[in-house]
Amino acid sequence: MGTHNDQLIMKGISKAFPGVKALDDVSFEVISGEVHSLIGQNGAGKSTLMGILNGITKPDDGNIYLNNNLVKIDDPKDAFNLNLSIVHQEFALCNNLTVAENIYLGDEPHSKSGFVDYKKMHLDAKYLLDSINVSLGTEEIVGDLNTSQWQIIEICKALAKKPKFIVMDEPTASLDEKQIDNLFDIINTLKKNGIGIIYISHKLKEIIHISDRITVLKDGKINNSFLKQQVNEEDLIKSMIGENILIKNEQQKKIYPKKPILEIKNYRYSNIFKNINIELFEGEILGLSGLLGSGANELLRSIFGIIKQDDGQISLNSEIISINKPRDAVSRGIGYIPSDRKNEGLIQNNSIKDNSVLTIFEKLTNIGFFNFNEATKTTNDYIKKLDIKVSNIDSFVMNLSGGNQQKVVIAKWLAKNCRVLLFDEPTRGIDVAAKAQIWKLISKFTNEGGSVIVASNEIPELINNCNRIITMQKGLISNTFKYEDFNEQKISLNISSK
Amino acid sequence: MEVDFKNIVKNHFLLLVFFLICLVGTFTSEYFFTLTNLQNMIRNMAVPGLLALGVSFVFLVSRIDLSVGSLTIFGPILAVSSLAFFGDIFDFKVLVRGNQYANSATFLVVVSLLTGIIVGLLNGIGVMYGKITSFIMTLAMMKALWGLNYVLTHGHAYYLQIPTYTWMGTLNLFYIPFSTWVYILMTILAAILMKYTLVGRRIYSIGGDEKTARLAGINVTFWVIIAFMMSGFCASVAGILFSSRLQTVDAPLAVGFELTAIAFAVVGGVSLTGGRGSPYRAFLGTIVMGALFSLFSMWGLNTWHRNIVVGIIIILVVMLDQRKNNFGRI
Repeated sequence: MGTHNDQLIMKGISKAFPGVKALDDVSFEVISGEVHSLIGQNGAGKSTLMGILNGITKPDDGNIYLNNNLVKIDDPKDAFNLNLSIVHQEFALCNNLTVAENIYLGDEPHSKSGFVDYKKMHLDAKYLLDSINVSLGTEEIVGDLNTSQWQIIEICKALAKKPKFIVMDEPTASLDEKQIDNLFDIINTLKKNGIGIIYISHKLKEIIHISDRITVLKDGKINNSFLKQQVNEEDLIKSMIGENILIKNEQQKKIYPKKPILEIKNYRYSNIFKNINIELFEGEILGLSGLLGSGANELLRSIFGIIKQDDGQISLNSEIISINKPRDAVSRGIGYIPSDRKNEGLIQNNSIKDNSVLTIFEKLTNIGFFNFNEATKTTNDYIKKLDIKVSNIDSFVMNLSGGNQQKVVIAKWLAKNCRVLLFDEPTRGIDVAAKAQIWKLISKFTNEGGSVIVASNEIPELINNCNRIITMQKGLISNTFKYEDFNEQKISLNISSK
Repeated sequence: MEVDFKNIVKNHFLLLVFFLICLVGTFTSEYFFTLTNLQNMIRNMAVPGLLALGVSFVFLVSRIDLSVGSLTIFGPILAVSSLAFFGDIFDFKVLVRGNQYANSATFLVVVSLLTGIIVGLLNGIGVMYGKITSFIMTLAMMKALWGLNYVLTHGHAYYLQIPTYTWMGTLNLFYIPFSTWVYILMTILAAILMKYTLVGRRIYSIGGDEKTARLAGINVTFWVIIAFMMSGFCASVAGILFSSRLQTVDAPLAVGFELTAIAFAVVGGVSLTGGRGSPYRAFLGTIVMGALFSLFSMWGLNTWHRNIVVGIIIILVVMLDQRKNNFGRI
């Protein structure tokens, strides 16, 4: 471990990408034994700043100092040599390798002649996992594990480098509450060992709980800096987006006609979920909450036909239908907004236009010829309706921010005139303002007669927006809450696994 | 320790298939289980086996190498034609130093090996620095080498009656052909390299997730180039064994070998998408397909029929492979 007074300073960092000034004269520092949080909306420049620190992005201007010595970080190897490790938000793991091989990737213990010392590697990995109180087989193949275990491996990977400084980018995104507490214990241990931590998260409660200092980035500039004692959630939101947005759907109190549109009876898939009975009413927003492994996400996928249920029947408008593949669901007017936007929701290197009209290609085709004008018109309609911020509808969707990408996914289903939309973690990895807009879109959709199921673990969001919330635990429905009975603690209790 | 039979059968399934083919061969043909045929069978495995081993390295880094077929014969052709060229000057001897002359066989071997490594290097540079898709890069290389083969030989065969060279194709050591020894030795070396050394870890990590590997500080560019060079090296070793067996170098020889090699590797379970497979897998694919080819010759089927069967087998194998894990995939 490093001496206890190391200091890492980024000074006057600027970076411009074509058309955007991503960072404008930003300075940021972290010292040994502190947690310095970095927050800001998507596109505020956090990732760019961390990219520069890790040597993936080159700054146009500015310097990095370690203990007042100027250092150059031109590629990840340089960062590594400065004892700086990163826990990436997106998992950077090799699915074909074992836990231990992943933890020591690129830095395997080996003999002088290049033979890998597997015995030492597995022992070290075991020691590392033990030191943070995690029991996980070091011989397991990473591809067979689940996302929260991946997160732990990512953290171990960073720790294996015996860092002086660690950047943690959204480390709690796929952890449940108990695991988050566990992570905070780990962070506190690291602090005691004199490691400086840069912590990035959208979850403001966590930020306030764990940080010593908080810096807010807005539009590529430092907007504010807080010490832990001085700050509350509202201040942070104000500082991040300039105003306080209340995510609250006033429409939810309305009395909707009790006309079931979608009925699911006795759904079962392997041992992932069973005995699932759900009714979705017209104009309703139904929340579905369950931790990883509760089967909530898989249930949504099976309704859409991505995985085929073993037992059970589904009826739409009182008519029993069979959904064997996504195409069946789509033709019945059911749309699915996946949590994995990048891979499943959008065709990244197609244009915004092509993605928006993906579901209605047939409708836009006359005797075999594609009607480009109509496609442009439709796309522009939805861009206006959904307030998607784009400069050119022919540019690739991969250049959009998370929130705008999500809107393009929604546009695709609205264009198809879907009556039922299934949202899987619709606000994951999206900033506060965009979250509010997504929820507004959902409630607008239901006001016009559509019905929605939202699988999410953001319980406060569900409480503010849903008409009913169903909780799931270990593949079973554990409870159903009506609007009148919404209570964050009770709902949390009903999803947490014991 | 508990013995996990299910896993053993799963991992060594192809070994069972190999013995099954041999058994069928023994019962359906009186010539199959003879020393001559078995020697031929394992000798014939050496060349495609080495190529399959080579392309496996490239597969493991999620790339493809189509140039190995043309390269197999390009090494010896380049060596022989330059030998002919220098031979004119040095009276069929190659001057090394002062009044020392190198054995022309040594010259052939050294030039062939260097050629393979250099072509592999060029492939790697084209792919990594030129940012050319490996399919296109190696397809272009295959075509170019094919052309060069004709240009250098003027479309005629060169006959290689150099006893110091051709022994490699004919000699048997303890009843096992020299070519097969070379193949087995290289497979074992490759297996050790891939399993126990850093080289293997680097290559598997790149095939598993290239971005992850890069973020872990691994020099992806370097290791991908190394994979191509290993492929080139294997191809040139195959070329030496091949030409010493035939005692001839001729441009049309070895055409289509790249696809045979790819088929062998795939049948063995080396994944085209990278990260999955091993030298042992390539070896299994080679012995199964090699035994099958031998069986077909015993039955009197020619290459035409053989190709049909190879096509069907590849489709079946890849289909089975895809079925393994498709949970929740769209």
